[in-house]
Amino acid sequence: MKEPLGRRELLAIVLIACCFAAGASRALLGTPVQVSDALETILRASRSSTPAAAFTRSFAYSSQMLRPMGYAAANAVLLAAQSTGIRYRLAFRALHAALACVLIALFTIALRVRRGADLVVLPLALTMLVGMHSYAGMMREAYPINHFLEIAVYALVVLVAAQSRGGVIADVVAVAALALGLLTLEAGALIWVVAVSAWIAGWRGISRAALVTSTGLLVAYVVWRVGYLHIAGAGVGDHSTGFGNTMLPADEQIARFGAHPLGFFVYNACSAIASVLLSEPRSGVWALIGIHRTPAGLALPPPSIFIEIAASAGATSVLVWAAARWRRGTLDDPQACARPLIVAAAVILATGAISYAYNKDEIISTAGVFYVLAVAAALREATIALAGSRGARRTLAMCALAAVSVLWGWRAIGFEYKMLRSATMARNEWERVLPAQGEGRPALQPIDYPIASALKADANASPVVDYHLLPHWMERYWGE
Amino acid sequence: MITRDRAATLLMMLPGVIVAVIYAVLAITDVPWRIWIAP
Repeated sequence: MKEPLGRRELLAIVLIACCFAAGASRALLGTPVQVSDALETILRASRSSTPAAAFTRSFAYSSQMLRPMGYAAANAVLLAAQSTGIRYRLAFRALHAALACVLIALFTIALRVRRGADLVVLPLALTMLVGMHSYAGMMREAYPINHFLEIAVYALVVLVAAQSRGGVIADVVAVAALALGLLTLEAGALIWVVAVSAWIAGWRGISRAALVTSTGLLVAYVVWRVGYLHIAGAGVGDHSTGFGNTMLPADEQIARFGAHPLGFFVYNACSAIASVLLSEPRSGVWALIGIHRTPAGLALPPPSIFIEIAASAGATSVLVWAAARWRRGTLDDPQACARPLIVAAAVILATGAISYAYNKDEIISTAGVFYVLAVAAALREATIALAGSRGARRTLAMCALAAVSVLWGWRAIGFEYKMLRSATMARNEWERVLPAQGEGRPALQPIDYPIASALKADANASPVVDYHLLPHWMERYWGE
Repeated sequence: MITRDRAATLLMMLPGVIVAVIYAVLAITDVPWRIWIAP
């Protein structure tokens, strides 16, 4: 378990990571560009002649959100597709798939697989990564270039820089990742949290000077955003979110919490943290609270909810076990276990803070990645402890870890089903566009028709397996 | 002979390795989905 790895084992690591990356990439490449959120962003970006123009024009689009890099990148992808003749869908999806591969590669590097016990944990860690409900959000969220995935990639880049031996390159990469992240999405602040918490945990690849620069950058961003552009954060009723066992529409949020929002904000923060650790609640809605008795018997949520809760509870229990052993000083490699734990704790808490106004799976996606890194470190300790134990205790622990592994495997396969579901829905969405039908569709101008028509033609041509034709048990046991 | 240590290791690794193989297959073909669709 403690012996260093040879070349064959290193090859196995690359092969396993490639399998996961290939599966995620194929699922993405098979998904049409969505209408909701994506089409409007693409059309807005297309009205600028350069990425820089799309960047600056985006400042006026919202009084709550500042996401100029998304518009600049969408414009750049459109220009690249037009100049090379590549179809728009392929251009956007290829970029998305490339980002997913980078995420899996960086995650595997950040795991720091060095010994036999690390290799034992690697397949389970990757299974957990893709099985997390927050990971599906990074792949399914409708924005043309998924900004939640970009933030998770930047955060991992900073972590890997912190884990490195350091130097000018590590510092420049860390500061650049923060700058790009802040201009991509509000959750970019998490990148700063990763840099600082990694330094506190003992990873000193990023120098003190770079951390000071990063902090200055964050302060400058806040001053520029709030003081100059007058773009504040979201408030009560700006987004739909759950409370208790139901979703609250905007007007109900304002009626119930508008005058005294603090309790609502605390609820949202705690819900986001619980969602990372226990897969419940989802978007602020606690499915288990909704269980009630009916004349026909108990009204239960689908089995997928129980499977996800059981898998997360098992993984979090291993994390708690490792934290307890760290406190007692009985870990085999305290540094290797405690460092990811500290960084994950900081990122999860910070995610709770940025989720104050509303909850959704995508917001917790970066926290989900760091949670899995911490669980992997704890599992490594559990594997080593298991090898040294005897008797019934060992058998019980072995069965428990195997059960956790099977549950996460089930969740991971469910990700592929969810992607199929998203692809079907994304294709069907286009039926209501061009000619426009129903409500809530983006109002298209004649200037938008060439791009929208091309995207619709791509969507109709995509060879999607219609999830409606698959057995109903898949939805019940893998979820939506 | 499989030792207890190796059995524990296999039990933990196997589901992840199976998922990796399934992902690799799904990256190449969607036949695993199509076999569930009734003719």
